[in-house]
Amino acid sequence: MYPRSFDYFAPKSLGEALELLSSHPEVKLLAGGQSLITSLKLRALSPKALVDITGIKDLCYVRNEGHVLTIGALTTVAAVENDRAVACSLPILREAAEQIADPLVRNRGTIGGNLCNADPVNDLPAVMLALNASMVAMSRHGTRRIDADSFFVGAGHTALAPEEILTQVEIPVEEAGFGSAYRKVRKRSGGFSIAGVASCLSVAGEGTIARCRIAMTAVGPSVLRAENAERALLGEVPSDSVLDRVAGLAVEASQPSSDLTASKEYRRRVLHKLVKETVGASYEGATVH
Amino acid sequence: MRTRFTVNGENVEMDVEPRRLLVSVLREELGLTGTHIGCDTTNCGACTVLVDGTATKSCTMLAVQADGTEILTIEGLAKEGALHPVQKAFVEKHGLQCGFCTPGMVMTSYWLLSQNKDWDEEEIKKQLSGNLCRCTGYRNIIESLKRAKELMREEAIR
Amino acid sequence: MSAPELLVKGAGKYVDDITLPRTLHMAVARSPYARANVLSVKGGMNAGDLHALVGRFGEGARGDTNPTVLHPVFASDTVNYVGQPVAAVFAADQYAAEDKLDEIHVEYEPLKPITTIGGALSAAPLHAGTRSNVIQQSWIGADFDDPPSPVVLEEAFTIDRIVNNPLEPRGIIADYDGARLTVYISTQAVFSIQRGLCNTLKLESSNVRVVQADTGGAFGVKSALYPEYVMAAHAAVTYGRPVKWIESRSEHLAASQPGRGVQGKMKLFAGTDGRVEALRAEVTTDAGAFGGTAGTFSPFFIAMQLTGPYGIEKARVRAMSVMTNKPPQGPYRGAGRPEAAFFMERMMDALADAVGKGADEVRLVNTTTQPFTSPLGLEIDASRPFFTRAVAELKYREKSQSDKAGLSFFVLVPAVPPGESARIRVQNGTIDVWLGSNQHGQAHTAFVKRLLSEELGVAPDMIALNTGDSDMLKNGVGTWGSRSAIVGGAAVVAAARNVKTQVERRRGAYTAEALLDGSYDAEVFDKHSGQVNSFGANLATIRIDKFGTVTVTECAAHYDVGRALTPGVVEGQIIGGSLQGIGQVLYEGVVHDAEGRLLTKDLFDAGLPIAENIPEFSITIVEQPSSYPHRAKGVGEAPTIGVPPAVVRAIENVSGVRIRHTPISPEELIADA
Repeated sequence: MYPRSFDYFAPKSLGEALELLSSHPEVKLLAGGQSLITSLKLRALSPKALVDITGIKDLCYVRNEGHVLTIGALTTVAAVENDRAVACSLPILREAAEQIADPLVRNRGTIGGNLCNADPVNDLPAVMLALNASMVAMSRHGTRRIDADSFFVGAGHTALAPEEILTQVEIPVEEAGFGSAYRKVRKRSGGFSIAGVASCLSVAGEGTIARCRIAMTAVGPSVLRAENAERALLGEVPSDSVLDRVAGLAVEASQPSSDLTASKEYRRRVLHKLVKETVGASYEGATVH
Repeated sequence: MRTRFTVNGENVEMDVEPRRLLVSVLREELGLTGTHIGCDTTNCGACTVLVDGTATKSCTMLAVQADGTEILTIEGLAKEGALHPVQKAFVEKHGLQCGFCTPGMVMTSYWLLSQNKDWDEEEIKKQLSGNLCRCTGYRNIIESLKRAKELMREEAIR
Repeated sequence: MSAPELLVKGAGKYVDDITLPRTLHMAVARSPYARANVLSVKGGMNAGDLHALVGRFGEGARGDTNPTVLHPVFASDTVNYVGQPVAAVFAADQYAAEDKLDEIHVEYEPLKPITTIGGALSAAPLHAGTRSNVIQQSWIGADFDDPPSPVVLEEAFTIDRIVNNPLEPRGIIADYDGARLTVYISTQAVFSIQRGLCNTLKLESSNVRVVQADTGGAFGVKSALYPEYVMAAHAAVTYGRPVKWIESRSEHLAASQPGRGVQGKMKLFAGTDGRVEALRAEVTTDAGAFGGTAGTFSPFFIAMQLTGPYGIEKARVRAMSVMTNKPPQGPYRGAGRPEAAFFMERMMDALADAVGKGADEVRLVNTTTQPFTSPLGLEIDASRPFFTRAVAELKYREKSQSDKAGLSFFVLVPAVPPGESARIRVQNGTIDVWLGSNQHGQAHTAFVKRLLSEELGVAPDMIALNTGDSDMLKNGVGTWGSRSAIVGGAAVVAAARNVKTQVERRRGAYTAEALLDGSYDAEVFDKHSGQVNSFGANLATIRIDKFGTVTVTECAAHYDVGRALTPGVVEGQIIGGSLQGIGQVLYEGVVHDAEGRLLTKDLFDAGLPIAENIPEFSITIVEQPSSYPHRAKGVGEAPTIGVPPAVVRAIENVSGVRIRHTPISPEELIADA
């Protein structure tokens, strides 16, 4: 019900935070706290020390830089949900953000927190994979970019080194012919996902799909790309039979397990329908303009 | 750790253990027991307060994180004993039965109304997904929110 | 309870809001195993310090009795459910108390637990010295030869356990001044708690005062005596400091007393016109490891109501409760009534399908045109007039065609006996009332004011209903079982008439002025033992999406409440209870794994409905007055009885899948892709 004691640091700058991380490698970073504080209360986690980075104000932003949208890692999910630039250029991100947990959790939960938790049922890893986003990581030694394909390593694990902090997410913004969608199925609103699918695609002049990325959540030990399914869409117009085949390939690539929320058979059935629905919606979005 | 914030317009300064949740400090150190604890996994929303004008689950925030913020709790809504229109609406429309979820519901409603959006009922229901009620079945809570909007409009005109 | 005007300002005083100086906070160490031998317990207050029992059962139960099984406050040699208390620690604040749990060391030897009713019947007894895991078994209804009916239908149904989950978890403060123990508690019944504490700790009732704090909902879970209450009281006496225990939600989910958890086997013998000639049934409840408040009572209560609002002349039911390695079973809003109606209404729907009649037609054929006492002891008025009107008002025919609506028809049997107590004291121009029934959201204040202002001829704002307090009444019963308006209301009227007689004796005639001028005190225990049953019907429509997710689109109620003493409150009760009925069908059910570990361990898993889950509600109130002076009947549990079978039938109609249990998961409802 209440956390165990911990040492607490509240750096006011990124530099200070990075110093702390390099000298206290066993600390946990605290951002919005919607997942971490809950774990502390249940005493599922009892870290020796917390480094609270919510005081670093210059990590909250959404910047439209033409072909790239950059989002500071401490930007709240609510801020992303309500951001104009996101709504216009990256509707998939808004669609995902507004389905995360509940409005109050979104008011404090951060984009960075959601990505770094790398919970297999979280929504944003799938979205960033589908968007081919890059994560910017900083340490005392410098900055590096990690693309989404390399960032999500496993359940609860990212490619970040212990002394690194995720500072920003960079998302390429396509122009014409781009469509994206995020759909998920839950038993009830606010509950954990049964399956979630993010799809982004570009449509060529003749109406066939030129590029696409499909990512799936809650159907494996980590977020997954459905690469065979993506390849099956290239050069195609997504008729129902094409979508059926594509969905079948995505299901083959999934590794769902059975738990309290759903059985793996049901997850597969839901995933199949969801892939069809999401890819269909992306295509519609791409061909509307 | 020294922590300073305002609660319902009053300045507060105290030494507080980092692990103490904001809801504990509000209830215990500050005696503001209107904010309630209904669960331990950030689900129920009975602990909802406003932090810098934004509805927040005070059970999932450390008190030390409130440093430099302005907090509004249920006790801060009524002015000189007169119920705020949101509170009046909840009483009028039977938006409460046992009253335990009510402070959280009222604070979330107050926050929703402060955003001045023209939400339809479907959207209102979604915005309430972080606040659980076991007694009312939510219908009268939604009616209370709608009535509150009317009452606030009337008061603004006056 | 504090008035809504106070609650809405956060000025309520729930038990955790009450601060006494020098309070110790209690935290409880609990078994992580569903079943184990306890080899040693080191640390905290434990069975070595307090050899007290929460209760004993198996004694005096009807039928096949086992020797007495003792339910200890602290587990000593064995633990029998995950969450069972083993020790308690105390500290100056809740955080430090929780830290102190780390100081408790328990050595367990895990054993194979019993986690199902079937398992209970085939496994060796859980408790040493008992013959089996059957707490009790008996038969009601005279036996009969099976009639040679052309239609014989047999089905088996299961309703999973549901945790009550009021928004406010359990809590208590115990305070001992050297002579008297005073307890502030979130409760439905101060006198149940007082009796329990006195029996368990061998205290005189004059030395124990129980005061109801503002109570944030209960739905049945806050009438029992729990081990934690006894620990807190004992600690208060031992340490000479107030002791506060506030449950966490996780503890509530694991270690309170969940309701439902019942299996029903039904066999109907019927004619081709759908008229039921006879019923055979078996009702088995999962009573958990220690019986609980429902374990000994609920099977009969379910069995007694099985014929529902129908004139079924022959019925025989075996009622049985069994022990498993789960927390004790308790009442959850409805407490046996929903189970009985579910079993019969599902059979009525199956019968409609078997004989090719509409769901309303087959029910109509079984309604009564005269008052009827069933072979199981259930008394009903003539049910045909109500049902005919309900079907028309609910527009069942039309909605059955257009939306594949589901229909249900039921009788509500309030827990009337033994009656209730009320006290009225008039002094200094004010009228103070105390009731044995303790409200927690049902707005008793409103009906007390209405009834008294009618009886005494005074303005409602002169009347104050005070909080439940065992010092202010000689005895009392409590709030549950849809009884409060009926017997609480009757007691208030009886006390009012007593006061009026006192005024007449003193002043020659009764007037409100004479009343308010003087000092009067009247306390009555108004005894009642009969049945005050009422009818209700529900209609529901649903839709199912391609993932099998059900949305209830319409939930309509047609209930006889006798007299709606406070219409707004009555509607609120119906809406709230309806959503709980929907929760039972779609979202809520306790899940244990094969090792008895609780899988539904947080509030998400528990499945409480949220605002997005609500249908369009419509309510028609019928007022056929009862014979009580206030003319009201019960209502609180009606929606939890009528809504689940109507929703389940609608799901059957739309999905084509036959449904025999709750909760239903989406995956059961979609055909293979």
